[in-house]
Amino acid sequence: MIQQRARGRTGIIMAAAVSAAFLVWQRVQATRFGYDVEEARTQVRRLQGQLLSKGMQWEKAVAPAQLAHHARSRLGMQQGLPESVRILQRDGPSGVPVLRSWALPQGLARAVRQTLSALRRAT
Amino acid sequence: MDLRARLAWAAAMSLTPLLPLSARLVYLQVLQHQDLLTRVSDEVERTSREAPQRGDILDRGGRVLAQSVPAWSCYVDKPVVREPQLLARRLERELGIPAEHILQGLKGPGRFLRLTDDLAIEDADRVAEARLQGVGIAAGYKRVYPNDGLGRGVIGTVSRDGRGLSGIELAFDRELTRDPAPREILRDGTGRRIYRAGVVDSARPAPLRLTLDRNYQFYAEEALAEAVGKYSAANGLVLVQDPADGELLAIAAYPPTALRNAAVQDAYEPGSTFKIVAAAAAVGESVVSADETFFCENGSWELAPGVTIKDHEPAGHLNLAGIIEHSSNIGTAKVAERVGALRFYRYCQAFGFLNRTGIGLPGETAGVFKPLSDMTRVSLLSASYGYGVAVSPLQLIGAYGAVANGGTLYEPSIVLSGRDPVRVRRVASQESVRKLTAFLEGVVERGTGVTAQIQGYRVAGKTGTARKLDPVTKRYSAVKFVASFVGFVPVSRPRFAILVLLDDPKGSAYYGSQVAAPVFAKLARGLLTLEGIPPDRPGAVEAVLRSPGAGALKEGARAPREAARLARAF
Repeated sequence: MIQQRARGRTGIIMAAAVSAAFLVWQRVQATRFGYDVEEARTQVRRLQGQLLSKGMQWEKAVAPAQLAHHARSRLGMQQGLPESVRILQRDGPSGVPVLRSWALPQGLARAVRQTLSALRRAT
Repeated sequence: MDLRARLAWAAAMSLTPLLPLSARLVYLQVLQHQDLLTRVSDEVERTSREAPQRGDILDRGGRVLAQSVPAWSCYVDKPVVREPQLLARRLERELGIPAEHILQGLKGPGRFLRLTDDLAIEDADRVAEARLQGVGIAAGYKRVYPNDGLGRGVIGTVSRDGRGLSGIELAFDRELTRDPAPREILRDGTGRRIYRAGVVDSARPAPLRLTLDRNYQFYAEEALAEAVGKYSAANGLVLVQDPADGELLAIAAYPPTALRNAAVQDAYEPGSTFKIVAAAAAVGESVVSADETFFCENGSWELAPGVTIKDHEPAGHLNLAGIIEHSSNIGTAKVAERVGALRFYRYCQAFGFLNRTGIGLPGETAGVFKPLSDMTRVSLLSASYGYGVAVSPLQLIGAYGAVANGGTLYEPSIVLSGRDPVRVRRVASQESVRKLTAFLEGVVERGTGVTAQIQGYRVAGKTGTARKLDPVTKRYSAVKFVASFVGFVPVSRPRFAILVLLDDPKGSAYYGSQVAAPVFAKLARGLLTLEGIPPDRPGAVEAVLRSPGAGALKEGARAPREAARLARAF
């Protein structure tokens, strides 16, 4: 009888100890996850920042002023004129003429023509 | 003493020393519980309110005009700093800010010293890892405009804390901003953050899409800057509007400033570009017939003692079309006299000159107009050719847009809302608009606006050269002018209404026809080319095909045939 009671007490104590250990473990895990989540949030923020920065670099690179500057200074391109619009396309599906504009800047057009004639001569 | 008593005695002896400890625990855990809890919370818990990301501003093609990107700011909590000299030197090394500057700031008033708002993540990490006493890093956002000054007068700017200060940023501040969501943060003994509650970061507002086109804006600003430089003008403005729905496609102002939008906030005396109102009234009310002529007094007409109306070039008898083509002030005044003050006033109202346009941008002016009751004969006649009244560029381009689209005045819009354009009213009948368009086309064909011609395209428009009122003498200056040109192209199916305005051009060229109309032509040429809009002048396509360079098409035998067929279609 006494032994049974002692065994019961031991069981209760064990259960309490396990529960306490579980609670402590749970608390530790929650804290650890808290650290991880916060770390992940920081990482997400960092990556989002990098993504936005890259996007911003792209936007700056393709800003009209940049493109125009490079087109003029590096490629010798000029602003197209309406006279340079050429109608090249065939009829649309409904028989209505489809217009395709080809306002190729003169500098580039000249370069293409020169390259093509050089190739012809070479072959 | 039996075993039980002895055990009880032993237990009592061993537990008695714990009594004060228990009492202390009860004191701390029960009696002081709330107070201590609050102190602990203050130490380890924080409720942070991080500024949320501001919404993007995009152009009509979805290209970024303004965006918020993460940035880290660095600050010093002054009371925590023990060795300012050492800290200043370390910060100089880490951030590149001069130590003297930091030391000066540390001696200044206030608890915090803000060192920079523009740290990159790598720099922020480096400063954080250095664990400098009293130095903190805070995450936030900075507003970036990737196109630099492009359209800044319209887009505006934001304050350091991300609130709109001017332009679109101010007008749509509520749409672009979300209230910061509170976030509960726990910190451990070393100051590391522990995420606590499942609070989600506040959602980023939807981007605001404008009607502006980034490329059009660039073309407009480039053309304007060139003209302002060439003619040494004090200021300049270019507006491009889609006459079909009132959407503004470009708003360029020079000098560019993010703090004001001259297109909306400024009013000016329009000069001859305002003659469209008298002409519209005369045509709409049928008070002048097509072949009726007015004597233009050979360039000088004394209206009243001390009040003389002059033309820029003497003219004899002109019909209404000739008056507009040659921009005769005297002829316009005589037409306005025939129209009468009431009808003229009604037409001004119909074209939207007496009210704000309703664009919704901050500081919009309604212009300056005398009430009808105060309108004398002199003020009526001078108003007919654009003196004694002040209009905003937005009102003026709206009026010409109404002529371009067949007679409907639209409310100008700057944001793509997906809703139908707001029709304000019909300002003139189709027939009246057809006649007005013919007058304006005549201006460019053979009148004062020949410099606005574009090869292959039908252009309609009106020049304006208004003397500026000298604020000191209160008289019109003989040397300061506002030169302008407003028109639309292509006439057969107008795609662009364009206003060019140059304030105080210096030198011998100061007429609208000399300085503003060429800017119109250059800009319109660029836009027509960009959009690939075909020429609408009869015979233009054949002329283009005959022009040098057309030979490139000869190899494709189909193309010239196709072009000739299309030419017939035009």
